[in-house]
Amino acid sequence: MRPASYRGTASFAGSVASLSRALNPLHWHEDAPYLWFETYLMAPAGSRGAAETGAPPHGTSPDTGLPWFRAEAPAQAPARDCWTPTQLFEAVVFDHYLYRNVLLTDRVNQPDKISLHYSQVECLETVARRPCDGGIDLDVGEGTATREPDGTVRLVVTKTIRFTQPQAATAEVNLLAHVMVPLCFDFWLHAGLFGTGGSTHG
Amino acid sequence: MKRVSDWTMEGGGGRTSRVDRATAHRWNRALLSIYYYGRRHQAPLSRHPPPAQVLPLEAAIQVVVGSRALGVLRLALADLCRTRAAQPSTRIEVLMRELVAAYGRLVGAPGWAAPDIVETFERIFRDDATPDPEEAYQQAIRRMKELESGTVLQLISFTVQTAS
Repeated sequence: MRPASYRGTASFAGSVASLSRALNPLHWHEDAPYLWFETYLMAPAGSRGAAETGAPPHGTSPDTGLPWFRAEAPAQAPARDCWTPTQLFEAVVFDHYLYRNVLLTDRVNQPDKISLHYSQVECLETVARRPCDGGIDLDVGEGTATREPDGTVRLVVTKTIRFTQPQAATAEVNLLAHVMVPLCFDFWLHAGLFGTGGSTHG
Repeated sequence: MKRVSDWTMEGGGGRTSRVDRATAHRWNRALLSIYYYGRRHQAPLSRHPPPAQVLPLEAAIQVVVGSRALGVLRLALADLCRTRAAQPSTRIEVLMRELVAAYGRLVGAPGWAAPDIVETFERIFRDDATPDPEEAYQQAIRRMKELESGTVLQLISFTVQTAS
């Protein structure tokens, strides 16, 4: 199945800082709960620090940092503003499916540049009428905002994604990915241009 | 064992969504349907029948109107402006005015009467008889920014292309 792969670019007058929240996945579930039901940084593999919260009841693999029981929530690490490669848990809303997915992410937050890179680690499960193991086998991309020499802000977003569950609907789900990705891109652009706080009732 | 399907609005900690899962899925499906409608004539969507998940456009618009969620309304309205530029029809015009009216009620822009808000979006398609879809989209966003904050947005360009 061919993945959906897109690239978006935007250029506008403003500040790089205006995109800080849009390019911080830790806020996506707050600002776009119709796209992400949950997002958080995961405790690193092998960690047993006091800072981690919500350790899964049946424990975590010391090698991968993933919960042994894949239906359980991975342990959470404290939120921060920038980070070197760290696993991120996301619960992605896609039609009536929920994809509980793990990405490897890194985030740079500097005055003239904000960047987020992500790549697929493993999809724990797809929550549908019946839970299915896995669900995404490719999800990679980036979002980068930079200040151009003329003072404008340039935003570049890319995403390549492929779904593997539910098996009976993979063709339709992967077809709709060609709709979902542009929708996500628009959310990032709107979040940067309008700020946030408009995801719930006005 | 707690499953994500059991989580609603727990509050605190910033881990969980501020809407329940059923609402999140409903809004997601409505937005996907609106975005699908605007792209159904483009490859690869044009090569396949509509997915069963896609709602009729009128039903999707009603979900968005009923959401009273500003972020959802902005996304839907701006994309429908794209669609109207690409596929002009009376049907789209009527639905766009419904969205604009819902958006205007939510924003409540000071000094803007409801008919004026509708008019400012209609002008996108009156000032330019055949607007480019992406230009129509950018015009919609500029108007929203002006209505909400009174500032002029200099959105110079925005393009999305398939990379595959």
